[in-house]
Amino acid sequence: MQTNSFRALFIKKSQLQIQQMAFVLVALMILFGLILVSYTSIKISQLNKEANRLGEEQATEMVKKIVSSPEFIWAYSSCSLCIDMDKVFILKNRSEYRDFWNVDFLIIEKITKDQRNRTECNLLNYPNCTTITLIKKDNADIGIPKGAFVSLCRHENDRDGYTRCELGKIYAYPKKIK
Amino acid sequence: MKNKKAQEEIVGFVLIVVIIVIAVLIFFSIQMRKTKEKIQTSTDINMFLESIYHYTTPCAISYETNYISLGKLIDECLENKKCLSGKRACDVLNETLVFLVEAAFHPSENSPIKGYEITIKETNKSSTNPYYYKKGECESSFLGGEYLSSPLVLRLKLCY
Repeated sequence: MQTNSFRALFIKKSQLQIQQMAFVLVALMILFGLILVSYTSIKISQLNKEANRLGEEQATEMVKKIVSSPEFIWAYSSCSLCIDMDKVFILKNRSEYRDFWNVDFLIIEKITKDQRNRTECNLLNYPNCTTITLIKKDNADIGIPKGAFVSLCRHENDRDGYTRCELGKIYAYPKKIK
Repeated sequence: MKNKKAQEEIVGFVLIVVIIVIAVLIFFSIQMRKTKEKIQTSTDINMFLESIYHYTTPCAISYETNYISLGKLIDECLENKKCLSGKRACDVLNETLVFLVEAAFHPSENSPIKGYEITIKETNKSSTNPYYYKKGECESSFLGGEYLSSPLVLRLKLCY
């Protein structure tokens, strides 16, 4: 009788210890889980930042390549990010250049205080317009186009004539590899 | 005896948890400090600064249609000169820079960009900045860029 009660007490104590151990393990797992979750979220945000930076750099390189082409470059001063707006306007609607830059989307926009009033440039309103759409393929799967700041230069014929450079942005989206 | 052993175990467990929590807190505070101290440079801002350097300003010098670029306007401002219109070059510079930054990035309390700081510095002089402009709140995270056109450095810091 005494042996049985001693055995029962021993089993109860062991069960309690196992339970205690289980609680400790669960608590530790929750703690490490929380640490892992916060560490992963920090790493993912860093990765997103890195991806954005790389995307920005890729866009910059693509834009620099396009801007430095003879069809775009402003040849009257040493400025690597200056675009000759008159040349670009002439390129508009030229089908020969549709596949020349390997892009599905290429737009040049003048930056103005009021971004809502956008007008596409045509022979009637140039240069008093804001956007020149060079390439916009209707059937292409275009994501978010990458933009980069450029200087939009042209010869102003007002009075004696002078050079006028404005701030603009060039948006391009690379051609999808099929 | 049994009670004492249980208490010792609890104290041991609490100690382990406290040590782990302190280690984690130290690790995160070091990580956060590292990201806060570094102003991230952006190629977008660098390109913006390079582009505005060639921007034609409304300031003409010598004759009526000789509108100068922002780069030249900075030189005129440093020499305390005036435009043909009679306006001080530094006032035109301030108006032009503010207009360009606000048109390009739209900083406001409701937008992700809360404020900005523009600095122009001469690299060959260790004295105070010849031009400094700040607008909005600049307390948490920054994104910056610079354009060097010797001896001038044009810097922009966007605050998020």
